[in-house]
Amino acid sequence: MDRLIRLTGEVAKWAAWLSGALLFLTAVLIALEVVLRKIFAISLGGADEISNYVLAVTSSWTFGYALLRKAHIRIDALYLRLGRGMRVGLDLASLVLFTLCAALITGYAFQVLATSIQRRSVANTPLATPLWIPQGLWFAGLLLLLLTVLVLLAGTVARLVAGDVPGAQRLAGATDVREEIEESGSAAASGAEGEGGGR
Amino acid sequence: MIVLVTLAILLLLLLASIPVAVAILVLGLALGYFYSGYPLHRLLGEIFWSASTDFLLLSIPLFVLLGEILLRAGIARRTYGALDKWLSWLPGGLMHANIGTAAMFAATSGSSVATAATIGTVGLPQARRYGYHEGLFAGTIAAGGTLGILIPPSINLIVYGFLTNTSIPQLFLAGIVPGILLAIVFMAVILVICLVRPGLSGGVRRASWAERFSSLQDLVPVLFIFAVVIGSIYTGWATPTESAALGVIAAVLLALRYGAVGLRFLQEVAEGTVRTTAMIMLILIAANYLNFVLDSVGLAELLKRFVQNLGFSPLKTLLAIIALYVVLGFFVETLSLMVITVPIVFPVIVGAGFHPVWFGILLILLIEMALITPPVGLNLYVVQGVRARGTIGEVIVGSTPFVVGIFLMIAILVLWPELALFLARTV
Repeated sequence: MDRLIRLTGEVAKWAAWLSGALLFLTAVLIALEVVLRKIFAISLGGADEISNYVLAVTSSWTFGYALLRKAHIRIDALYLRLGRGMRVGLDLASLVLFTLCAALITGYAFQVLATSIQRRSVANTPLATPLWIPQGLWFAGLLLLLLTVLVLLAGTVARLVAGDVPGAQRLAGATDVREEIEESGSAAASGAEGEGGGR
Repeated sequence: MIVLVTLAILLLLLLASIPVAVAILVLGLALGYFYSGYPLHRLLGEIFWSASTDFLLLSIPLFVLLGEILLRAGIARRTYGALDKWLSWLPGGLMHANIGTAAMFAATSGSSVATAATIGTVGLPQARRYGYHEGLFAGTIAAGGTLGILIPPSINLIVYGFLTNTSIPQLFLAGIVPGILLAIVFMAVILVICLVRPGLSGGVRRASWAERFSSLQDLVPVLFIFAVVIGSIYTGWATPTESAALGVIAAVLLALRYGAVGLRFLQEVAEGTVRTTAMIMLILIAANYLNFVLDSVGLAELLKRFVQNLGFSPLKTLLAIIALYVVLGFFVETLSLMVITVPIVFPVIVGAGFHPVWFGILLILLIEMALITPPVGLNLYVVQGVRARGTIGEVIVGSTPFVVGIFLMIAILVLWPELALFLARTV
């Protein structure tokens, strides 16, 4: 089980890196389009359309990563005042609802994809992109989210059954503020280091 | 009845710490199932796809990316050093540099947490060295950090524009003057406190004019980014999304110039960007679905009529809404607060005759207040976390004067709406 969780984490991290790179390339593409349009009055054509697909694909591929990094916001005003047993209960409820939503979304996303394939739908744009390509990638990302949340749920239940409550909490618990600060703080600190190196 | 059910489900899910995006989605599914004659859930896939491919929303990851690059390239420390030389002679010393850096950093980053964490990391060690009152010092950082969502580019303004179909260029321009004014109000607050109680301030240091002028070059990067992003929007050269892309390119050039770029840098930037983006996107897509359901079952219309039947004057309506946000702001995290309330409040406020752009700015001020009011005020915890000693109580007390400052700014904006609107009218 632990190996599966680690593997999921690895896959999610690569998805995050690839998505980051894709977003950066999109920024280059859009910037190029703006400059060419403004200075040479020519258009690459379709830059905005491709960018839209990138947004859909990168967000669906990284929902799972955000889940593993506990970035999906949970209101913890009450949560923090509860005992351990109640918290674990809420953690499980959160994961179960998350699984249900992810399953529903993935299911209906599949219908969107299936319809596009059946009707050989093509985007109503100069590029005339066959829609199954971006929608297929988008659907794959949602599938990854569903698998991620299932692994997380199974892992939490397995740890609870084994009596490892703290382990289960590490997997499923809401972000505590400390983790969040380490995220931002280490970013600022590494920025500061980069600066220190420059002097 | 349906209104009560909606509120009850939402409160229950949120209090139970269900992830906000999931809570919103569950609410949408439940309402559609019980109150609509049509199988609305079958449209989930279509709505999800169309919201994920909205060109405006692409500006969110790009602005997050821009902020991440600058954050990790060490730009904030340079800015802080320069503003220290220009502002530290004032009573209150470095605390003015905190506000100034926050305001300038806000002009490149759309996030309040990132702004507060960055300035906390750079500034807090100085507070110890020069003997400042740490609570007040930390309070200035928490308060200054909130400027990040008012001074453009602001992710929260994009979210507001997306939810209400309000022009992003207008919102961005409308945020500039109130943002600068709020920074001035914050500095005035510091000045007054330190004139009354000089003991709270650290030693005043004066930099020479030569030092000051040579430090100006450290302000160039931030001004450069601001000029690229806001300039390209203002002149009509670029849409907000395109301006974000231009900003990313400019930020990468700066990061390269400062030698910050390496494999680790790129990985961290990618991770930080997608982590924030995925969180925001899931909430926005869920909210988009909920809005669709609320419209279909006629709830938005119902609420609007309910408020109209109360017979409140526009001013009374506005005050009631402000009170609502102040109270909710104590308990609810800010992005969630916006996404949940805006679709309901917006028709009411526009129906009462208020300007959509003006209300956007007012709303951001209210959200800023929520960021520094306990028990759920993220900036307070961020600054306390960076500080890592003393108690959160000291930071809360230190931030209180600035809550008063934000209230003052809200009053100013209500009395003189043109402060926000005159620039917005130019595009």
